[in-house]
Amino acid sequence: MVELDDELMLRFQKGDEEAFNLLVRRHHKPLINFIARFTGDRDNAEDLAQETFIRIYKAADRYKQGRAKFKTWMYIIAKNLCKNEIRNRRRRDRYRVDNTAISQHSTDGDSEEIDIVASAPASSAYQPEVALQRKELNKTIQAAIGELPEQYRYPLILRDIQGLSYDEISDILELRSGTTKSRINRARIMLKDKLKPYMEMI
Amino acid sequence: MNCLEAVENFSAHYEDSLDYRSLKHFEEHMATCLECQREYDQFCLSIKVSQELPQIEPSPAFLTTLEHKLEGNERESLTIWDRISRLFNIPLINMPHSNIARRVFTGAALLLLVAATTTIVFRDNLFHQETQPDATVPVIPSEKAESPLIRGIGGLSQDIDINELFRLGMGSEFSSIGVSPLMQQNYTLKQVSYSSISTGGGL
Repeated sequence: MVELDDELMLRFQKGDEEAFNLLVRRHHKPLINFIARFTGDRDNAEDLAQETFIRIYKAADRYKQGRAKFKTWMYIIAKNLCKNEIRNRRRRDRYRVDNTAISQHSTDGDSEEIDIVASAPASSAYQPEVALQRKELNKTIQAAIGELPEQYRYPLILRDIQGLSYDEISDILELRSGTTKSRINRARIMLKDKLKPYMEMI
Repeated sequence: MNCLEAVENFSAHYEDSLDYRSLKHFEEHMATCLECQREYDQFCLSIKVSQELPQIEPSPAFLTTLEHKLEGNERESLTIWDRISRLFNIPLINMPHSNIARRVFTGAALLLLVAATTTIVFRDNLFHQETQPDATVPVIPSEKAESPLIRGIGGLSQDIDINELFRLGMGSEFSSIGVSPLMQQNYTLKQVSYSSISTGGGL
């Protein structure tokens, strides 16, 4: 029988380190996925996911069963880290743009960001043309998601990519249920509008 | 239902969460509006492709790197705040609005503290307050205020021993209010305040 997250956290609070390892193994993939989709930066997504787990590890005693699901708690921490990361990146980018304007160097433009679509594993039924087309499409979708304003991007990723429930999303984003629903609907409409020129490809 | 309302219901229809009445109106509109039909098809398609985005596989070193990073960290012990909130089962720690809730609770706690302190201070004053001399009442010179009664009449609030009054020959005044000799032996009137202003016949 699979142990619930809350039970594992309780075990970890009592000192069972293995329970924490189980939680990490259970949640690290969706967490990395969420962060990577949100920030558009795969390598950094791993760092941020690790930082999320470190924070959970350190603050484990503050977690109390029944108040919030472990998953919700984890996503709240990750969301806050993502927000900080995006803010810091904007500052870095602004600084970089300023420096580039002065020194006319543009070599390190987007080198930090890795194409998360390209690093995804290839399909087993490998067909170069289809795969290339699919890769381009995924890139386009990722770019379209990345262009959404933050307030719409979060709920869209949590709902359509992470598959969370409306209640969970409301808890993570600290929104009322009605607001969450309308934001998700609005985000989907915005995404549809952005993907309109590529509908032929889809 | 018009086009704008139909668009607002796209997600609800896609997730089969429209109630019967809304569903009926939605489908009636969709049956007649080609533009909304096209938009809805694209809407569904964009959701489908975003749901089909490939999962990002973590690097093989992810778990080992995390283990190494965790080695340098220790679990934080609970703060005083956390202990209090846990003790009283205050749902603040994992709540989404924890910061707001904490502020509200802290404010309420401070108000309670101030109220409790004020009550204690005033209660003490209530039972141990000494009546201040009335500025409108003339002060009797000290040589005339030697006896406890005169001192009382002078506006001071103090303990008056009935036995002392009887000894001074003023016990008859108290006999009229029914103080028996036995009681006179055992009781002491506390904090009786007299003033020179006429009480209309009473004490």
